[in-house]
Amino acid sequence: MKRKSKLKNRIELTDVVVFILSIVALIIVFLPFMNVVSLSLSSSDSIVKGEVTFLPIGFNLDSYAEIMKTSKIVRSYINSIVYTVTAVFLGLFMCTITAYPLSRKFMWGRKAVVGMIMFTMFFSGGMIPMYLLVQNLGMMDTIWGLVVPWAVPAYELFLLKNYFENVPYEIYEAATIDGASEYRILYDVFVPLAKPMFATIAIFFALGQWNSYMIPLLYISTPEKFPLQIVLQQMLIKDEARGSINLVETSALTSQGLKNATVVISILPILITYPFLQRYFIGDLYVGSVKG
Amino acid sequence: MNNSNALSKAKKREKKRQQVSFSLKRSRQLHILLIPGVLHYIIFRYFPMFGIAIAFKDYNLYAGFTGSPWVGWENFARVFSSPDFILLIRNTLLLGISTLFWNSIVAIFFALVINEVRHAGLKRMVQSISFFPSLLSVVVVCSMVMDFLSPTSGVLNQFLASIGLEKHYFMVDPKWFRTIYVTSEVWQKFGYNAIIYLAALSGISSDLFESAALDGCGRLRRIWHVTLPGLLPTICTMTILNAGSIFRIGADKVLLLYNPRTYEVADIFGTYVYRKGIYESSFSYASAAGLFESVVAFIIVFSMNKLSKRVTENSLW
Repeated sequence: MKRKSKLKNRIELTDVVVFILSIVALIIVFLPFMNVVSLSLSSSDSIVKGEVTFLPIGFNLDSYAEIMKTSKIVRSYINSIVYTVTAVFLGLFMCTITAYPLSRKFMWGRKAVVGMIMFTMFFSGGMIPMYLLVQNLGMMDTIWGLVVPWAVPAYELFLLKNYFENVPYEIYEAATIDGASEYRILYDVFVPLAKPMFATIAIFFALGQWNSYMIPLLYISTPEKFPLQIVLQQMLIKDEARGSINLVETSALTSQGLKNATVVISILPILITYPFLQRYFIGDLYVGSVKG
Repeated sequence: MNNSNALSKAKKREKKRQQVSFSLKRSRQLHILLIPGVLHYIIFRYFPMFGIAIAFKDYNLYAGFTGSPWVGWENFARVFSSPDFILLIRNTLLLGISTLFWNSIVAIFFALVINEVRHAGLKRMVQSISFFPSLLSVVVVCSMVMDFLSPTSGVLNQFLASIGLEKHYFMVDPKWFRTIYVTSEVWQKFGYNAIIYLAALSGISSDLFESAALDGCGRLRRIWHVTLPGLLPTICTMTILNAGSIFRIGADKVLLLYNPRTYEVADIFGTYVYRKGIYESSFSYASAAGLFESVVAFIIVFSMNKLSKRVTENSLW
């Protein structure tokens, strides 16, 4: 016993190495963020001269003031919020009404539907047929093209289905004996029970939509409807196009402060909700993997 | 005796009938709930699968899907004989494999290090901070990469200049593309990827460590002889499962990072389909290339899963 406690308290060389390595990992994660924040707070002059690294030089809030003045960015921010909220609610609703029937083992045709959904996890029609379909359904350049085709992803669906399956059968049985219809049972019994899982799935949908870039790139063409990520992408491309024409083109670089300020405000909602995200996101990943 | 037997049989039959009528009635309600979801899958997942028939047609917008003429395998023949084809396969595979390799190596190493941190607070802090980048969008990460490597104001070039080396425009240099792609991928995902290994590590019995320690094993030897073997099954499973997706790299990140000067190493099936299909409107040709990608990806996932089932008794389905 004595030996063991001694073993635990002694600081070895390994501890020092481990400590240094974990601090290095932290720095590696941190530095790019420091760079982004510094660029967003520095004067455009010092950015052009290439003086800004990990601390702001010529501190000012001009870039953020410019964001407020740039209607394109403000509008895209609002668009992103609208798209995200819609995606979360539509997704939660569709997943709930689809996952619940699939979680009732006695339902006729259950296996066939589960198989049909599972197959789509491994094979898809690909980009072009989907593009033509969205076009033919008249969803092009509308919020529905962004949200509807991805409202019931198999992964989220199966997460919720498994959660519903783990609700004790006695609870379900008691409700059926009381004469409740399936709709009632779902609404009054299962939905309140599944709140933590709803939180997890809502995060999946929210993050997915907020960060989504390929889909709006394909389906949204009117600048007034662009989400934030597309506006950001256009800033990147503009920077790069100018950069490749002339390596020391200065006008390309003055927008760098604005671009990085936009990056900061695009990360902000994720940062603010991070404790909440962690609780429902990593927590579930952990529990899931330990059990498995 | 006989009578009561028959009676209980009748009761059983009655009960069974009740169950059937119960599940029939209940099923009907459930089926109504299921309608929107099933319709969604038919329209948005299965329709496009049949829509892939345009890969066998000469699609043009005015004739529409039904009006365009069938051309058989012609589009595929053009894809396979295109000089881009070999390049696309090489780029897709190389990018997929190197991403998988470095992602796993760094995640495993990081998990091992974190696992040895004794201070619980530090451990939690490192973990939660390293997880954060995985929540960022590709656009944000690519923006960071481009600023970091910018030829005029980028941190890296400032550093190179300060130690007397020449500035370099990394983004247009084909030699650097793969490194840039993989490094940024690892930076963004290592904290996330490590989670599964950390979970596996916390499952290794502490008795093993204690007895190894009592036998005079040092920390490093314990990691080598106890921790790593304990982690091996998870490493196997994860590697095989992830290997299934080496052909399925998303086009989004490459689309942001590449430019005409780096096409030769950066162009993958996803970006090629995007360029040919959406930009040049050669829908049929792009669909043929896309279908080829889907089929190869499916075969890889399928066989990796078979392998995983045999080797580790874990599988995706």
